[in-house]
Amino acid sequence: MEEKQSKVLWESPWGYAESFLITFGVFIACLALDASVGAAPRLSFPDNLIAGGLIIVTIIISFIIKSKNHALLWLSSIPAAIASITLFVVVSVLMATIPQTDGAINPFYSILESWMYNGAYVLVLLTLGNATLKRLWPLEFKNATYILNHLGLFIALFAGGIGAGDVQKVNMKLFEGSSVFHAHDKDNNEIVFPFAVELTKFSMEEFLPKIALVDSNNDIITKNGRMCMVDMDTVNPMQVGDVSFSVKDFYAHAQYWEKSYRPVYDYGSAPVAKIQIEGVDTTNWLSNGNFMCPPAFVQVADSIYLKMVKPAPKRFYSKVKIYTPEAELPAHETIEVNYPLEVGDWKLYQVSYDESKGKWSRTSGIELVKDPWLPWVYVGLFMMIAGSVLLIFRKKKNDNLELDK
Amino acid sequence: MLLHFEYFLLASLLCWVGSWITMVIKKPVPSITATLALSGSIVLMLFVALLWIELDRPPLRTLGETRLWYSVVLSLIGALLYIRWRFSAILFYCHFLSLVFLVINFFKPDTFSKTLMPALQSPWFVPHVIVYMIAYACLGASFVVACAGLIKRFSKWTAVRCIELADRLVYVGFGFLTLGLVFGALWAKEAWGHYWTWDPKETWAFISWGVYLVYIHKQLRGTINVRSSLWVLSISFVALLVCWFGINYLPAAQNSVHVYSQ
Repeated sequence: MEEKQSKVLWESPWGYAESFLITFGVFIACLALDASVGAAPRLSFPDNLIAGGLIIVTIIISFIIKSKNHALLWLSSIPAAIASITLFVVVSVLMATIPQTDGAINPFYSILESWMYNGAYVLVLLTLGNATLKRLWPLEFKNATYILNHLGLFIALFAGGIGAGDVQKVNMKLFEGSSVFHAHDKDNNEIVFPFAVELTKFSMEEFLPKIALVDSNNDIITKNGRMCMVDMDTVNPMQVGDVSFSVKDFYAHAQYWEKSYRPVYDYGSAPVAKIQIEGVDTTNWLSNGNFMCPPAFVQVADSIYLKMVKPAPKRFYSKVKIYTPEAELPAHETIEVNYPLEVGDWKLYQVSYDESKGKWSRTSGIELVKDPWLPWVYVGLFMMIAGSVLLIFRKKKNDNLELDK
Repeated sequence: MLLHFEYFLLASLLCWVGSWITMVIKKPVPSITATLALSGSIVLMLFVALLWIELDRPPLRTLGETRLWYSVVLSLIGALLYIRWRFSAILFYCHFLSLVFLVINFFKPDTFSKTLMPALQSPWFVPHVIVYMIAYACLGASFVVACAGLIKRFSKWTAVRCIELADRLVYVGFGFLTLGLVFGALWAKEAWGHYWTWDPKETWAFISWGVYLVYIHKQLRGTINVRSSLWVLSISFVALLVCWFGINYLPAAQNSVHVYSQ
């Protein structure tokens, strides 16, 4: 990283020293803006398009006339790239180490809204844009890796950052049997949708519950660093910690009445197991219980209890009807985690449910997201995938193989 | 629980110790070294496959499970580097690093469970994590190679050739790292509704990606300086480790969706 001793600062070509000075200057200028003007504006259509357009025009003009100016020559250089990436990384480290909240007065507590974040972002776009143009024209096959990686990243960053102001995210709570066509976003603005959503049924499948040893505070006991908790086995004898037992009966859905659990599939049913501990003649019930079903556990030693842990969800989804003005009949659809539903410009995501009722929840939390710039982000990301694959198989050697002492 | 990790660990250890012995004796036998090195890795791959079948889900969910994959991939990389370039120190270092992670797994065993939360039941789960484990292993190997360059004990290899090999590994590792980042973004859009939310894990993933990006650009300019190369590579590797493990211990990150489950 040493510059030749004979070079004077600010004499062209600019190297690492100048790059870090400029970047530091940009950072200080941004901090000054944060201190005086407050949060950076969150631009949405059409302002973000204008700002984005200005950035692109700046990049193109600076590229075209760069031979006339040290600063513009510097923009497409490696030290500029390194400095702008470093600045963005430094801002990210601040974000990762300082606890962040929305709308804090101190910009360090709300970095995403600050000028230092947005300034670092714009600097990256300027250097990346110029670096991309360096080998974009004339279009040559040997530059494929370079172009895919640089232009791909530029498109993804540009669309993601400039388009962020146009992203709309709304949460909707659905109740079985009623239809909803409006909701509020986090700033409490009301949004009316050109469609209505009706929850017909919320459903959940669960894994087999686990059995654990707990203490009087309901904390799971650890033995040799490992938690005493195992998946339930209805076939083979089980061992949890030092306790050996076998499961005689397991009801995935049971209810409690007349001093016993009986298998019933109905609202409020809970999983229940009948176990026999080794060396004991009688059997015991084990159940985590739920909002309607009482729990059951067994004391196996002083302050040690064998209990059934609440089963983990395997799959949960909402069966919905979508009413649109164009269609006579509603469309029957499913919204599931990892499988969102697309309705017009919106995508509907399964987010939450009434956890106190678990699988018997009659409400479903849906998030609706509209992201008009998404296709462009995808273009950038897929270019980066192609660029990465080419990078993995890169055969070119670096030419600068001499050792620099 | 029929699978006993201890036996597989012992078998791998025996294979690898055998490979080291055949490397350092007066008349080394490279073909046996390579066979033993690969065998050790294959034993572990067998364990992973059996675990996958037993758990009925990809064993990629817990920190211990990712350590296992890392050890397998890193030891394979070491074996491949030995076969290709006969670089004995690298085989030893890669095995050593793999064993560190395997021994951690031995002393901090996972509570193996079949449960896999709905958010992880996606076709993106396996590619996203595996690609990252390959990236981490390549970048770990590049760090090890660069350290060897600094120590300069290996007269067959000059410091420059070490850095050259380290750079090649960084290109491969970085390619996979980018794939991991992008796959994560594409998955996040399907699962959570947005491709990037500056979640602590995502932030550290970006930081480690950014530092390796700086390294790659630095190596393209001027002549190679072994010392400064190693410095930047070390900082990058530390950022990577923070991203992989560190965030599980950072209080700010406890609510992250990426905190490994028990």
